[in-house]
Amino acid sequence: MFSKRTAIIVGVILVIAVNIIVLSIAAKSPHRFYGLKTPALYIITPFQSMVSRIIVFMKGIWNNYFFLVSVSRENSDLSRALEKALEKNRHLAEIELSNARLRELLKLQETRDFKLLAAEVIGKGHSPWYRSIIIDKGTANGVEKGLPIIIPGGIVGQVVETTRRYSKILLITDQNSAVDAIVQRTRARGIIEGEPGGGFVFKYVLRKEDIKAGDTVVSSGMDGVYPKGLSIGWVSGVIKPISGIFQEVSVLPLVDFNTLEEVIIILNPPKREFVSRR
Amino acid sequence: MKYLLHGADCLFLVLFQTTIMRELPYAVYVFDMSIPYIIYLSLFLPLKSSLPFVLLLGYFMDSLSGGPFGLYLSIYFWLAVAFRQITDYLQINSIAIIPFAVGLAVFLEDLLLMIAVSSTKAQHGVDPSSVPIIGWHLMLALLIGPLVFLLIQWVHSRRDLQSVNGSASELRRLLWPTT
Repeated sequence: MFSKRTAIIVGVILVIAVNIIVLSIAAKSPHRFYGLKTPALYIITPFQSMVSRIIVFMKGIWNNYFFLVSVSRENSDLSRALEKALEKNRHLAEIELSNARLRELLKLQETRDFKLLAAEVIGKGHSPWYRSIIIDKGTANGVEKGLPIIIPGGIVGQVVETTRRYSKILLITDQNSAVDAIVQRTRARGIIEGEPGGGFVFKYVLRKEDIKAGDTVVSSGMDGVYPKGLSIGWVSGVIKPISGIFQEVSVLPLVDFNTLEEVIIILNPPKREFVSRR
Repeated sequence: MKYLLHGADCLFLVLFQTTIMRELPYAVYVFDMSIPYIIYLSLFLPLKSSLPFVLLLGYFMDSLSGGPFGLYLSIYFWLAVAFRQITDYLQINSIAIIPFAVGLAVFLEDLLLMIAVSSTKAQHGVDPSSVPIIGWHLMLALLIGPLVFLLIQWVHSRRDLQSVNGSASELRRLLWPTT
């Protein structure tokens, strides 16, 4: 009834249609397909770990033996100390502002000690459209899906997939990531979203809010994932359109995602329970 | 043996892109190195033989990416099928055409990835910051793409030659064990 050519064309159209439908489902509810990705992680991550260790070893030889032994060590110590001091400074500024508000309200907030776990980055997703990294800690170390990942410089991302020994992290620079954030100086609130270029866009910030280039953006703690007061980035540009209720704010990350080698997992982040009312 | 080596190629490409390339400061501007390999497989292997490796590569990339499952799998599959079909009408395996073939494939991949990203976001549309990345990918694909393709071709020809030599000496040893 049909020629072979017609049958092939119909077949190809059908395959394309099925492909688009499956991709749409996978995009709308990615958690349904996480199970399919896990076997590949079991295969690839041990090799990634091995290659990563070789690279670290080679870099270690280069940095410590061939390239000015003492200067390299001193430089890395000073950089680490400076990074800690900067983070402490940001943290203290956050505490100062927080204390002022609390004194005003005469309320005390419970402080919580976080249980932290250090992990090594062993792989990184190649695509600029979807940004992820692989770390060498998994369920055997207490890592679960949804845990926040940080470094002293700020937020890195969130655990999206785990195996026994390895985990996949969705970076906050990914376009699908969103962090509820505030400007440290003025408490202007919005949502931080990743851009393909590696920066952020600070969305839904009301036009009336006072934001200037150089302002620090920190997590608000309202999204139920990231604890409050963690550094995200600094404002690099503000455009206030003539019309509209929101302003366009560009933010650059404080974390250098290109040189990320070690990260910290918060094993007991504060849980925010959302209760729906009927 | 040959199939095992193609599997190792896939693993190497994934490891190269996820562990070695991340050490480069501007790795994000480098195009997907799997593309020249997919074109190579489409040109030199029949679809039935090349498809398992194309799908394996797509599966590995999908598993390590933060995107929806099946995106790379689909892109690689359709690129392999398309290039296989094109070879019936066009002689792609020419040094003058390879840059354009790699460039076109990289551009199509970026376009599909961008559409996929845009479709999951609340506000649809092209993100302006993606344009320079696509530009860099395209430029590097035109410049470096053919070199990567030639490198893959050279590695495979050396490997084939070695396997032929290996088989010949093995055969000679079996036929004339005393010599």
